[in-house]
Amino acid sequence: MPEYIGGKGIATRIAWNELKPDTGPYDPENMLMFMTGPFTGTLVPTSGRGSVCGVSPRIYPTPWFTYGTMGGDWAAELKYAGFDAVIVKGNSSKLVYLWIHDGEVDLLDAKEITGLDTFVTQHHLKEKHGNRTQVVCVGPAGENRVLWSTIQHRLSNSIGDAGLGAVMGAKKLKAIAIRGTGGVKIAKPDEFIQICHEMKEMIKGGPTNYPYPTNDLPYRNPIGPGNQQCSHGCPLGCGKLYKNVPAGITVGSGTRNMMSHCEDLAFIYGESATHYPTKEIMDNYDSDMYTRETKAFGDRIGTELQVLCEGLGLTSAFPINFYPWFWVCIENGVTEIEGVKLEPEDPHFWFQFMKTVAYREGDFGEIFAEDLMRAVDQLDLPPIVKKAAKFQFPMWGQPAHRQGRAYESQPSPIWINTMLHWIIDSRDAMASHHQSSFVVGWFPPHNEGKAGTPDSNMEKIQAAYKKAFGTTGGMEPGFENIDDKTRLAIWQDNRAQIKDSLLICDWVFPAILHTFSSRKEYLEAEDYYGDIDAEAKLLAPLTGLDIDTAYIDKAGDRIRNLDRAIHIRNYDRSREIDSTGEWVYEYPEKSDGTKLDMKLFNTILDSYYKHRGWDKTTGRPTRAKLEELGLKEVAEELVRLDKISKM
Amino acid sequence: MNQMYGWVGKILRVDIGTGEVKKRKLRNMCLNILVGKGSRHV
Repeated sequence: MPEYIGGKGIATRIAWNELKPDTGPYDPENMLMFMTGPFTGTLVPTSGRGSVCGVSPRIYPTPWFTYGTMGGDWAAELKYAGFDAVIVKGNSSKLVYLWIHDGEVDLLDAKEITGLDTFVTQHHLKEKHGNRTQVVCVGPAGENRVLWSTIQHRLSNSIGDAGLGAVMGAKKLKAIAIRGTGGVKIAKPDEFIQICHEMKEMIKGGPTNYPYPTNDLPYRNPIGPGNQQCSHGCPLGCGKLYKNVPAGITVGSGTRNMMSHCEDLAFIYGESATHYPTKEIMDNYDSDMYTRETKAFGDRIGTELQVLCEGLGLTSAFPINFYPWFWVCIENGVTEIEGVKLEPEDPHFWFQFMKTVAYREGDFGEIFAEDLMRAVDQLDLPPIVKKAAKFQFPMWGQPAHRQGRAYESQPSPIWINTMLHWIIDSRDAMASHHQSSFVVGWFPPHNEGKAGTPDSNMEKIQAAYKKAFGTTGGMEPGFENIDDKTRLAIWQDNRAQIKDSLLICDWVFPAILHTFSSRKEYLEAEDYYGDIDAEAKLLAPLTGLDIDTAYIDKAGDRIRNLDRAIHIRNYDRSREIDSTGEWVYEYPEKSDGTKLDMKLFNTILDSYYKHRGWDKTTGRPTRAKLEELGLKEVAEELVRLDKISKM
Repeated sequence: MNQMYGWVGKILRVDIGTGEVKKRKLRNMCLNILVGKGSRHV
């Protein structure tokens, strides 16, 4: 029988079995699946993550089945409480919450926590059920089915742009509170613990977007003063902890503690979270389309804005992707929308904007409570303003992320990899693919010295890739070695499926590169290679099963192909749909100016489909490919529907 | 396989509309997803 590892893999199998093509995001039949993996609750480094899957209203233009992952402690607690997953169906007539405790389950009235922000909701349920209770919840935005709403946990862990907070709100499920005192059984404990220690040593330098700890950004360090573990079982401290942030002008009173990393920092640091395009690009292209440097509001106001964002239960796409879009509006004469003056330089504008959206206040709130694509569809705006919205949200209504145009710089060949992940996935792929792009931090400084390490040694990086894959073609700049590049992208994507099924963190795994505890250690190192066998080495002694890396890679391939089959069966996913974001890549990458055209894009996509075992014309898997993966019954169903590759 | 290592072995299914709660064994759901009959690893 096929195997699906856990987490997203099992959720995908359940969706194939049970999710009907006409199931909409707010239908009672939509399943909201809270998943753990075999590593969850164990000593595996970074294993505190959980996954949530379901049909998302946020995906544009077609709401479809997608996924999100988040860190924290809830997933481990769920296993300690006796369950690998919770699958919620139906819609309640009144707001309720689930209380899961040591194998018992209660569905309780949520009257006491109705309307509360995500911090206070968690606090209230911890007071009621015990301080060690772990809570996932929605804030006011989720209760109001705002498409930007998150499923929130702890200080800032969240399922964000998947849009599943709105589904939780539609089901009238305010929260899930979990407490368990059980454990996870290990088949070979001594061997397993030894490997966990080895993996901890391998990742000691921190998340692999930089080879060694640095103070350049607060989320790059191993755990230390001011830094915070975001997840159960993680030896790293990627989050920066802010204590006692005033909440008086947000939703309620008092103060909140907040953890931030990555996008959460945009309100605070502004410019450092984004990169400006080169002068040549600004002079020669629609400079309006490129990201303005998001204004830094600083520690005090920036954290207050972020606390509001987290408390309302909204995604962090707000500061990064709305800010530049508002500026395109202003520069093209759109200074107000539905009577609301656009003032992105003013923090009070953001306070008001986020609250208006979260509570769907007035026409402005109602319009922007939908995703930006649906909002601009409703508004009478100049074409350049509508195009800029698509530049900021280039595919699936998801915010530009690590594609080298609207947001971070991603010089060739990295953006070619990330483009392939974007076009194949069902959402912003980079939320699960950081490893594909974090290698940019190891590159020589680029983008006016704002990214990359001055200590880079490309020969050693290439040697590590050669050790892993037998070739360096996938990592060479430019458009040579296309087959090597697409094979690398497929491997990365298969491993992303594994990462979201085991479940572990894509800021670390799969570990092609080692990290180092100091700059000195990095400079003296002869070998940068990490260990791409790590996942199998950990899973085998944990389960006692005969698992090796070939098994892991095949399972990742299986999960991706099954996800593809769902999208073909339920949503007619096709090559044409995969190609909808191609136009964005006709704009140059903002730091090195590389770009493509439709002909080159098609060459790359042909290669990708070929190595996937998918039909070049339709993008559908072949019957042989599905059967090779043990998905014979899936192939037969697609044959019955006349949706299989004819190859 | 009598012993689940790594996995707990149970999935909780809740119909929030009716209040129905089911505790399903992982091995018995979805065509024996993880450790069902025929798995080459069991």
